[in-house]
Amino acid sequence: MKDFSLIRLRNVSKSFGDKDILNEIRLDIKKGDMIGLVGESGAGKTTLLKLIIGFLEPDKGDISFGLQKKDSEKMGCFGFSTQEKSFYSRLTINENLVYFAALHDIPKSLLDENINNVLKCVGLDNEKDVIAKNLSQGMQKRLDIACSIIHDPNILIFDEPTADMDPVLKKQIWSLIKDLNKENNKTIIVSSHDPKELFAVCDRIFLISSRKIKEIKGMKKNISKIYEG
Amino acid sequence: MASINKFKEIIRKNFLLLWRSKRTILTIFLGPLILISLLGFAFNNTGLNKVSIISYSEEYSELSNALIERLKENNFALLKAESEEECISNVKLGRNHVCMILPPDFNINENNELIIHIDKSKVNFVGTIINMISYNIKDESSVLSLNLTGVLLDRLKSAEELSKESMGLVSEIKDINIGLNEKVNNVLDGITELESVTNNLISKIDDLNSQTDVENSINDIIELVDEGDDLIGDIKKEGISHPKLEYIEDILEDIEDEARQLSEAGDVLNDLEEGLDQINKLKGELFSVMTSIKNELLRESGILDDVMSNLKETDSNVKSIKIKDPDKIVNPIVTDIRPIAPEKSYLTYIFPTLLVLILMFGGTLLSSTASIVEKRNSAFFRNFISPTNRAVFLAARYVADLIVVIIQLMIFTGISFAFIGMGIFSNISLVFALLAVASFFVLLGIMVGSIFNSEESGILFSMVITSIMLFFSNTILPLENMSNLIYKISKFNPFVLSESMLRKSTIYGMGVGSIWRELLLLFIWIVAVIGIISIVNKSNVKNIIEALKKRYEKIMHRIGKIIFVEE
Repeated sequence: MKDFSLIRLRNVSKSFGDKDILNEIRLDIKKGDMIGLVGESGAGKTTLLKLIIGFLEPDKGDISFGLQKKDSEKMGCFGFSTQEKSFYSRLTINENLVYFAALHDIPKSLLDENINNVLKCVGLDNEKDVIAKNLSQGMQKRLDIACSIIHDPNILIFDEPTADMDPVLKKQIWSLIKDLNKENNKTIIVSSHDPKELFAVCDRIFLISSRKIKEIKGMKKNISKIYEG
Repeated sequence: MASINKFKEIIRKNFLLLWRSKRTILTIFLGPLILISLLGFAFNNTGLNKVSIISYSEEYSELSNALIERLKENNFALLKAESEEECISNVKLGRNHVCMILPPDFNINENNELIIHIDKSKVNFVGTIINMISYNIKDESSVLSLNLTGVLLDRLKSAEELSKESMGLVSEIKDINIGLNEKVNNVLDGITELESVTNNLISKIDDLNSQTDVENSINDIIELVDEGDDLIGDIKKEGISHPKLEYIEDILEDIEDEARQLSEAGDVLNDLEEGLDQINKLKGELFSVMTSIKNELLRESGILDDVMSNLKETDSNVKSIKIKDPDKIVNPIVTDIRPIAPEKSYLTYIFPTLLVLILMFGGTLLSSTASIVEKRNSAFFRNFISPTNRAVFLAARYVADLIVVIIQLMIFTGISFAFIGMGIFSNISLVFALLAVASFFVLLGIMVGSIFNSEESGILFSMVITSIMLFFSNTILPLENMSNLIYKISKFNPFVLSESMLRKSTIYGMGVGSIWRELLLLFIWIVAVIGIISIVNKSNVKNIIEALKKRYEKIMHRIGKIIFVEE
């Protein structure tokens, strides 16, 4: 497995046109961490996540990993689950996983085993041949997570994984994410605009507000004050 | 191996996505099927039928009716309008293709101008209609010309014969003229001689008159004879008789008779002299008349020479007309238009264009739409963050779309084989050509898909670019109609290159050697499009630039080392 156990952001800034999104962000993430990013809609959470995985380039600053590797290898270390469902709705669960596994150069000999393990992990092992658009909302989210982890990345990123979900479903998803961290020792970065959800699962929580990032410590008792700054 | 597997999986994914969209599949398969079926039924013939003509004339003459009958025999639909305005209006409204205005009493001597009104806005049709109408009118006109020319030639022949006959007569007249001239000359000579003789006689008479007073002498003789008679009378009175007296009386009588005869002869000589004087006078007049006759004869001889010369010239001119066949005069140049390929239906002739159209629209629209749909798909993000080079996705897109386009092509050609017996695998050069053409248009679609982010703009741009290629080709209007600059540029139009290659391969069965130029140019287009795709997909370019930079730095570092180590 590829070993990028540390993510370091130093003075990272990003703007889109005239609008500054992030300004001189500093962040350290260690291996096995479960990091939560909280902030209002439009605060820059998704932007930060995309900067971390290399989907966006910072205007200033530096993002480094434990060992300097080629971009292509760096990409392979991440699993990213977006708010939208990033899979092909006309393909079956199996076809989606086979496809994304191929993109990450998973050998054919390991493919079936990987797929079975992943499906078992996300609880979709009985729905292998179901076309994705015919799955329920919760199953679709699980499929999305499955696609994120099919290549066994060390770092998982979840961008508002429980958006637009009912409480039961939210619970299922958070449970899954937590299991991925605790049982599989994945470094997880998860974003949400609901701090309560993050507090329940994350080791550290960072607030993104006014283009800055700040770790929130001992805030479990003062959840309502988080957005007061 | 992993790269090949990745590549195959991406292609497989692309196919699965297409296959599972029922409407897309129907369009891919039914589109060319419907197209070729309709085209096959519509264009699997060789003639241009259903051209309708409306005519108007104040009064239809025999020639007008003959022309109309001829047009009807050649499958033109003919109508007659009530007025010239109605005739022209029908063409404007598209009810008829052509309005033909025939003058009243249309004939070949006067009123022989026929006016054709045609709608030139139907640019793809108007040339053919004009040719067909002109051909049929020319045909009728040729028949009339043949008849007229035949009459002319007959008259010419008659003129030639008359001319020969006239030359003969003129020769005869000339001979007579010469003869007359000689006779006149003889007469003139005679007159001259006569003059000399009469003058001589007159002179002799004058001499005679002047030398001897003949009259007085005659009178003296008569007096003497009278005196002799008186003497004899006296003698007789005297009673003297002698036989000789009677004899002397007889002699005296004879002498008196002779004298009287001489007197008469003198009178005659005088008369003769007078007559000779008159002859001289008349001779002068006669000489003058004969001279004038001679001059007239000379003048007539000159005129006869001119006439002869004209007749000879006429005869020479008539003889110099080598062509005596009316058909050859009316149609001096016979045009034998031979198609360079065996005569076939319109579908065969437009087959190469149809192939290009299918590849162009199918390839460009399919690839552009598929590329944009892929980009807008939520899964695209996951593709992007995978350790897979963007070029692999593009290459897989190209292969998948190319296969779809080829499937469409095979459906199209498979059915067209039933109509025109033309298969795409009859000629290896055709296979190369089709691959090149399909590749270009698929890549063009991928380029459009790379540039635009919405299906509407992608489709719109695809339509614009394909329309430009279509308009600046031979399909709508001939390239030769365009300005010189556009004509030269249009020769590099990928549509024109594609059509040329396919025409050479399908209709004429030419090999790769005949289409290498078009293949090369199309290949250059392909490289250009790939270049644009690379530029638009910036990450690839960025990587290439970074890689080049690093290589450059390495090389400079090595050079630096070499220089400094040497020093």
